[in-house]
Amino acid sequence: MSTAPTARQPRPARNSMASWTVTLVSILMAFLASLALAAAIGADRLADKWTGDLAYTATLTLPPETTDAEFRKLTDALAVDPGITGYNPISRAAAEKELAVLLGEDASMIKDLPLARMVDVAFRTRARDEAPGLVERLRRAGVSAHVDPHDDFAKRLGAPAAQLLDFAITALAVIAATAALMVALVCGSSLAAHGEMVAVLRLIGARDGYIARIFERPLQINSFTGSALGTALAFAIVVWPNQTVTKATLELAPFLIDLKPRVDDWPSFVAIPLAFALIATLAARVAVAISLRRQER
Amino acid sequence: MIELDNVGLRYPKGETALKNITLTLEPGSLTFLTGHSGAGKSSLLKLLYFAQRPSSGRARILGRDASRVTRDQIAILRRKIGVVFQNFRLLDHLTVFENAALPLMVAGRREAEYRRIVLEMLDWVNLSDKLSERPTALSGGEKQCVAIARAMVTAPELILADEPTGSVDPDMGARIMGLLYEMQQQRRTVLIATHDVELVRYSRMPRLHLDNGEFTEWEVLD
Ligand SMILES: Nc1ncnc2c1ncn2[C@@H]1O[C@H](COP(=O)(O)OP(=O)(O)OP(=O)(O)O)[C@@H](O)[C@H]1O
Ligand SMILES: [Mg+2]
Repeated sequence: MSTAPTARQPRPARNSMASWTVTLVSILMAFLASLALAAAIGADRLADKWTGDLAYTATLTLPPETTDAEFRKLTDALAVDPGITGYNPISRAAAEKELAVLLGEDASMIKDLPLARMVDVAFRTRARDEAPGLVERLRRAGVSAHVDPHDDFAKRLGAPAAQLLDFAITALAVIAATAALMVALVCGSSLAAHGEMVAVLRLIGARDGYIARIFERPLQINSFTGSALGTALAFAIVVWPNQTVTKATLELAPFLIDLKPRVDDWPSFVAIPLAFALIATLAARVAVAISLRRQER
Repeated sequence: MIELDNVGLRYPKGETALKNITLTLEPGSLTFLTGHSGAGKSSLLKLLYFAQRPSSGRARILGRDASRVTRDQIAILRRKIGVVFQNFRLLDHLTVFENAALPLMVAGRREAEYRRIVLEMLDWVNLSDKLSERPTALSGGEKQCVAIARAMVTAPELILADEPTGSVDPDMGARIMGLLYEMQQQRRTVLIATHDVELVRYSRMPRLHLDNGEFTEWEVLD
């Protein structure tokens, strides 16, 4: 007896066209999915930041012509107010600095602008609910200040962030559906090309599940490797080199955040290839089930 | 083992292939099935390996009602049936060894368990030097030998052979018939569809004759 080759599990004839298609499309889809996921994570974080941090704060403003004595009356009232957890008068210099962000550093006219006198205050609960009470208490103390709860602003900021999140999630869903259709299509054509193999496997006692696994496996492998590569590429080319929002920017505009994924976001990106493998498995299983149901017995 | 009671088979769009088939095959029997081309021999075998559902009548095969079995039950039942197909039905992208080992792989057996059986079987049909060949590189007779090997590796309870000696030389034909008799000695049920009248005449085994889908004879030739 000569040396026998070892038998591998039966599998479809190698079709490099099909496996390259699945691999390449998975690379591209996972690349897109990584960007959409980065956008989703960023939008979610932005919404959190805007609706979270800002929800409990407000700015009190007095007209520009307010005297220092009147302003002191306000801070004195705040110092004893039971409804707030803290307050922070904004100096003329700080106000000018913030304006400079908007108007440009060398806008010399800032010095001459009449600026409202402002105090940031922090509440125990939502600023919107607390603000009227504070205004009333201040009025009784003889100060008529305008209050601007940040959560109103935050709510308005939160809406576009939520919109952005919706777009990103929709993009992810469309990518998943496209990947599923692509795998189902390739699986369907592979089954059509292997009609005789499917029939023979059935005739010698293979269960539907066994046949399904044979056709699923190459699709799973190609989808997984392709999408892992696509995710890695997206990280290497777009996500990682993406310009960091600098510390200086964040100091000037504390309501901004860096949208670049953090290290603790990385597990979400590892999920992309796993999701692709899962989608491939399910899509292939459905394609096989449909094809086998058409067969006689 | 097999009990057909007044079974009929009609293909979805085609003609009636089988009519009023009543038949009992006991374990340890070897029976020939003859008939002209188109008489319904292959159709009867299809019924017996559950590839066709009877259109009428009752069929009990390996203890199961052929009209009621589920797809999964069919798969398990087929592991007890060895079929030699008239057109072999080998998979061209697998090697000879893999083709012959297929029923065992499909049944979930590990290669360490079945390797020796498959090699012995292929050696027995003189294919030891072609283990790594693809079926496309084989002669008709060699393909038939692989088909025989594949049908026998599981030592099935029921053996359905459609023209098992149609493509081989008389020597190999005699060897194959010898193997089928040996299977019968081991109390397996063997049904052989053939045109080969000589084969039947010298065998002294019962023969069923189909004519246009109906049995016309049930006889033991001397
Ligand atoms: N899949 C099918 N669909 C429709 N009709 C079929 C099908 N298979 C066989 N038939 C018809 O059933 C009849 C019996 O065919 P069958 O293959 O059983 O004959 P056979 O006795 O095996 O012939 P042969 O000796 O040539 O192999 C024929 O009239 C054939 O045309
Ligand atoms: Mg036939």
